[in-house]
Amino acid sequence: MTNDPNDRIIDSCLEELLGGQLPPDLSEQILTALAASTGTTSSESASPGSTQPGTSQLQEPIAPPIVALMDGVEQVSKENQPPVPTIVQVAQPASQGSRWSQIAISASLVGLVVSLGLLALQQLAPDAQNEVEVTVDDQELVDPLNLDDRPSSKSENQLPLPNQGLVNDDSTQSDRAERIAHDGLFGKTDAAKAHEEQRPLSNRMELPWSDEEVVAFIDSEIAAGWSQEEIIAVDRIDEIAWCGRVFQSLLGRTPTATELREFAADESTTSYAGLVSKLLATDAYNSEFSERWSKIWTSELIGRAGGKRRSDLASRQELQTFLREKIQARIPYDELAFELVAATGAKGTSSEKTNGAVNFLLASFGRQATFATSHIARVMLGQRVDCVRCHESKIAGNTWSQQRFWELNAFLRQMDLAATADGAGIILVNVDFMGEGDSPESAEIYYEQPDGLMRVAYPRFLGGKTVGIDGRVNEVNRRTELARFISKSDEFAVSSVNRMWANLFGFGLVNPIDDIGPHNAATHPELLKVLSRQFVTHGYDMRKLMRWMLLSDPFTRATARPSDPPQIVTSHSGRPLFSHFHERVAEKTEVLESLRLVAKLQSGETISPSEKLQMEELPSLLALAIGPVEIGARDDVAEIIAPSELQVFSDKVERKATPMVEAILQSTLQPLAKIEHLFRAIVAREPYSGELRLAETIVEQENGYQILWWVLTNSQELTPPELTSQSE
Amino acid sequence: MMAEAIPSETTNRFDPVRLIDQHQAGIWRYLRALGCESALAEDLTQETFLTVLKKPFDDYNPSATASYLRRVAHNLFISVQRRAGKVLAVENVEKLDHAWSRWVGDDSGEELLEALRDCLPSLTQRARQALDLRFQKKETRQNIGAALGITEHGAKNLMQRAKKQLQNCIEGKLK
Repeated sequence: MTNDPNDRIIDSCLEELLGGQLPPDLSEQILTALAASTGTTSSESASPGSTQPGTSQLQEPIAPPIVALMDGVEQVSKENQPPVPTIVQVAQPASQGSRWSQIAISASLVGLVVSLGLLALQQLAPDAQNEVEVTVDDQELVDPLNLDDRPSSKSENQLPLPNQGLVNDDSTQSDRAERIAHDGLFGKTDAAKAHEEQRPLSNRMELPWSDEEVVAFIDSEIAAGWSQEEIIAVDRIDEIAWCGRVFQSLLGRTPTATELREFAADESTTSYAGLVSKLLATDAYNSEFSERWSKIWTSELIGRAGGKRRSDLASRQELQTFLREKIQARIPYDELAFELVAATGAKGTSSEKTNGAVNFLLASFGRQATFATSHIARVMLGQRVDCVRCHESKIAGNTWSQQRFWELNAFLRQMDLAATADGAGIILVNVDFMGEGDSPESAEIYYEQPDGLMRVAYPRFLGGKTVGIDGRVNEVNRRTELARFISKSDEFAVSSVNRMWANLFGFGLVNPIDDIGPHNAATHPELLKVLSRQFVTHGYDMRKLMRWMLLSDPFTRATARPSDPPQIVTSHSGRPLFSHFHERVAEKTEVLESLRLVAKLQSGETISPSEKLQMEELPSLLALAIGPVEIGARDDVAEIIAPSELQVFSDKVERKATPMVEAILQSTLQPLAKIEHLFRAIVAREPYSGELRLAETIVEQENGYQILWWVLTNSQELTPPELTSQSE
Repeated sequence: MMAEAIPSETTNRFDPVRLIDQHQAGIWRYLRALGCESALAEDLTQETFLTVLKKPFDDYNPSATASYLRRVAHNLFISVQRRAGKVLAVENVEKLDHAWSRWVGDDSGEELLEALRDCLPSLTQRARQALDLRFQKKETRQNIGAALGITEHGAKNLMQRAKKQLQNCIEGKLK
């Protein structure tokens, strides 16, 4: 049978018209079967809602199959809103007899229990009813965390409870609700509570703090965590190492000799802040900075492999170009997020309007926008929702529900693809959504619960804000509304801050970074909250956020050494407390590829075009040391590389690599042991067999151990700039 | 807040007979379009209504009700296929469901059939003959080709073009 759906519909119609296969009348069979299953006669089943005096009639529905859950409808505009929660009045056929009486009594008891349960839930979690309305204009933030000890209007009715509607253990719900109301979604350590008593934050939360205040707060919160866990932080790195770390973090490369000299020459107390300002705020580094972070954010938005395959709908390059331009223009992060979620336009260069932002959603297009729903929740809100597509969350404390997933999905159902005028390209557009009931004025979607019940969902953001239910774009542009909700939500701010912290420190304040919620406590909840608030207060300025983190004390700490005692390395709980710097552990393929290319270049072999692309993954200085290679030939290094770059390489090697490499060279270790030592020291693991073989060939060459040291050190970093001479 | 009772004068009184009468043909046709044989379509149609009628149900909008019934039928179909160990491309089912919603209104497919009936005369005689042999006589493509003096591949192309022509004609009428 054909897979074309239109063809199959035509076929079935032709079978009916030409083949005489008419739909049968199954009324009698259905009613008979229905009667048999309910213990009535078919005629009784057929009578609509008839009642007889003296018999009990069910007044309470047991579980209506279609329910429009629209809590708090009264809070929003009445125009074009979802219908008032419906129900369904049961029109059960009535009959006499003790059996029906028993059924009626049982049903009434069940209904009573259900009603009481629902009433209890309402007392504990009214969801949107008492939520403070947030508008874009007044820029107020709903505060789900509520650090204040005094109950807010929100905490009076508690925060939404986990597994709402499926609560079985009433005795634990009140305890949990009380804890969430007092300690917020992220919990509160004892140290933080003591800390807060000394310096109440509630009256300062909405004001913009100075950079110094924010940095001091980071330092104090981190130090409080160490104290609580009886952790001793490792020593601080020297200024040269710190400078190199900042360059690596912001620009993805090591500083040139001149840049190092300039920094070292500045002996003022503001030298550190001055360097960060120079890299973040001056035009001189804007291009480099934008290039690096556009690559990082592209990977975060569509994955490391997204948009690379020919079959991919999205274009990685176009998205990266879009991000680079926005970063270079210093667009606030909330505006960037808005553009990504609301984007329409052609995905690539075409005669029609190109909008690289569309590639974010194109990467997850399809399946009735279920992929896009999960993707947006994970990337923008830091929350995993894949499971709740099909069933309620099994994780205690997780506030997501199946209903919430489909309400978010309803925002994305106007998305569609169109072809460009020349037919060669793809355009992401918004089209009228007719709703699954084929009624655009009330464009609903249906989803199935695990128990088979069908439920209806309209657009609603995280159980709170709603929009009109009309599915026509000129009435309600659902995606634009969603973009607005997301970009101004607390969840977005928290997720953005957490991601940036993970980028710079190796681990987030919440890990995994896409699983934020009451069920997954932050290591430093107050810190995350304050940083999120200040991030918003300072206009979603990502560079400002980076600045605070780079100038903080934990960023100055050295990495942990194998010889460090346990109380320095880890907390009792095993969660990172940033008492030492966390180098990202190099993945196997990264190191292997770097080693392979270096070995090939050293041997004078020609490289292929794809390997030339791979060369761009090598650290710039290492590649310069080897020499840029034309495809199919190897040029003399001295003629290509400017003397200054070679000097930088040798200076850097002498200054950094000498202690370790010299120690290795002077040791009596066998070459194998020397290589293993370098691996353990730098990438914190033993070499794999393939890596070992390649490393052995590399160390046989001149400066082999220095080169190996460089490869391992820089294999952890992301793509460096293009292989061009760097002017000083 | 869960759903609460609404006054009886604002909703249709629940009538199983009317519900079955109004929607059974559409559900049966929908299941046939999904790929059910006639017997299975009958079984699943019956099962759909039994599933729905065993629980309280508010028939407040024909479109919504039809959509709800189709969704139940759709899920029952998938369950049957899986129990039978058949690998099902759910995406294809979703596409068909979407196409059905687009083509068929609230009338269980009557308008679609009427349009098809009006479009059949626009086919060439050979094309009509091919379709008659295919759907009326249940002939194989090979036999159809032989009857028309063309190859089996030619018969396939002829019928595909004919159905495409019918599709375009129907879309024009349903707009």
